[in-house]
Amino acid sequence: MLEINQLCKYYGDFLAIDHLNLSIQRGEIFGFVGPNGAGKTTTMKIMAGLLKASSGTVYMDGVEIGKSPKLFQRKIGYMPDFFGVYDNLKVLEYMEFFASMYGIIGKQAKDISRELLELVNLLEKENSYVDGLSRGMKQRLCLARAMIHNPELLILDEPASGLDPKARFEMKELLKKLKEREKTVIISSHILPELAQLCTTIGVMQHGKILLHGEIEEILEKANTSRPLKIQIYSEQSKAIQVLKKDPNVESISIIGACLKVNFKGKEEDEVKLLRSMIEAGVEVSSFLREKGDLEHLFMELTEEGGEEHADESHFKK
Amino acid sequence: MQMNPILRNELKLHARTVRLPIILVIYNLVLSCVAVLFMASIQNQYQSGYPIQYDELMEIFTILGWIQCVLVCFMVPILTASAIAGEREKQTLDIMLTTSISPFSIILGKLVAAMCTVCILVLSSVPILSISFLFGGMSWKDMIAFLFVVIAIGVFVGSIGLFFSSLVKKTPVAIVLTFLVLGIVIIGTVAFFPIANAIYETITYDRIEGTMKSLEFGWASLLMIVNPVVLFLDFMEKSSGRIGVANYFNSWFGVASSSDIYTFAEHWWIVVSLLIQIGLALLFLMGAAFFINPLKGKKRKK
Repeated sequence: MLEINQLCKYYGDFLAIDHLNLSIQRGEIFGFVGPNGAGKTTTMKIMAGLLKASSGTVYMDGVEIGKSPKLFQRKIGYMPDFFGVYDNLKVLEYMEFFASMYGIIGKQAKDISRELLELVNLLEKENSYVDGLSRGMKQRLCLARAMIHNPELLILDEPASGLDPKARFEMKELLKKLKEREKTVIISSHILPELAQLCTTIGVMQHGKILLHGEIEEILEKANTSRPLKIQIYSEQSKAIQVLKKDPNVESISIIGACLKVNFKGKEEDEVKLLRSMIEAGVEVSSFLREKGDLEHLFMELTEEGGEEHADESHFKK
Repeated sequence: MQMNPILRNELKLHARTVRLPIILVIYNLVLSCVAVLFMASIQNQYQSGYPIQYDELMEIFTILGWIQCVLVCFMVPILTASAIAGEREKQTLDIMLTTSISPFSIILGKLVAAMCTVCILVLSSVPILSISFLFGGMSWKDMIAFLFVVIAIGVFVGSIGLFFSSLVKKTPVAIVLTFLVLGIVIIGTVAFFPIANAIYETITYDRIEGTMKSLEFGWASLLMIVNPVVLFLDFMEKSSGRIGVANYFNSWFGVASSSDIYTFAEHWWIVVSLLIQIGLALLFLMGAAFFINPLKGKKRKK
């Protein structure tokens, strides 16, 4: 549905987007992950037609953005990372105003607005002034506004930023409803566990480049294997190290007291094999576990600049 | 046909504030006071034994008309210079630009909304202006022509405000730039050449012979064709049965009454000036639409 090829964006001499390539399929919920200043908002603004790329192309359904902006505006719903509301308008009027910008007027505009307000749990507030809404309500109103013209693609920039836990939960539930509606959604967020629950694919971005892109299951598996094995040895630590060194999946071993921290690239069945070979070699293993990996850890590892140093650790590297 | 959504929204938002009714009251109060004071002075003059001159009675229309012109030249730029910059400050412009509405429609909606506010003010003052009808010499045709000229001036000065509102991000900067350009257009076109001539005469003054040279710049008077205040002056003069702005050309620019410029100003000044100012307004509006279009310009090669 969306194809980004060699996209670059300069702000003066600063390269914000660096030859970005990305493909998003219809029906995907794509999570954009990255630290502040990674280029997520810039990329999303280019997709929404709010910024001109310095070079490269963005195609939607085979048509290049910028060449027919009218077509894109009908197909895309954009929710920025700020509210953008008129405080003197009532909730329903705000929705009707944006509906009229797409040529939807009269009863049709009212009906669509009410349907969307119901979706975002704001129907009872339809006659309230926007000024009187809470931050979370304003955010949900903006989401409803972005869907007023029933777009095929929704671009949501940090929809849960600055919200309290309750409002975040409500926003998460709302995004789940969008998933049920089979919309193509691009969403950027810092709340990675929630993204992991919602998204079908994820792209990790830093310094204007995609560091990692793939389906959520694949990435979570990668996240798991990126976590070290922690092996507690009751006796014969040197024997255990010898066995570990022989295993092709072991990348490095750190010794922290009686505990061995092993960077192990193998999968679950390889872990079983390793444990068996240690026991067969006569190593007394009192515990053997791999911490469950999550998106947050993977994100930190990918975007970390410079490694950690541990003073009390001995380290072997293969 | 669907009404411009920006215009409808602006009208709704304006109607909800107490600002407009307050401005309406103050504005009409000022006009009423001026009219009453004027009539009181005429009456005093009559009671003192001086005869009432018909021309003096007609001055009331001129005075009230000029107040309207000043209002338009001050109020419309403020309204329009804050229009787009204000949307930027509220962070609603980006959202608007992702919708199907074109940048030109956004600009047009903002201009018409500002003009509607001015029209409400001007129309609300029609009963006060109609005092002139009591004394005769004024017709509804004159009144409609007056409203048309005032609105055309509003469109011109408003388009300058919108242009700078689109060009810069902050409302105060847009307002300052708009008034700077309006100052150049209104005062600069009138004062530049007489000042240049005075400087030239000082430089070329021969102390021994007591002679000096003057610039030949009758053509410079044509620059005032873009000046909305000169357009209004010409209209008011001609409405009062006088020659119009051409009459001032002799004292300001040394234009002889037999010259082509004089004849042109006498017969065609209003029409040509209106057409040029409306044409310039269109250019300013197109420029404003260009500056808010996020997809303007060419891609960078690097």
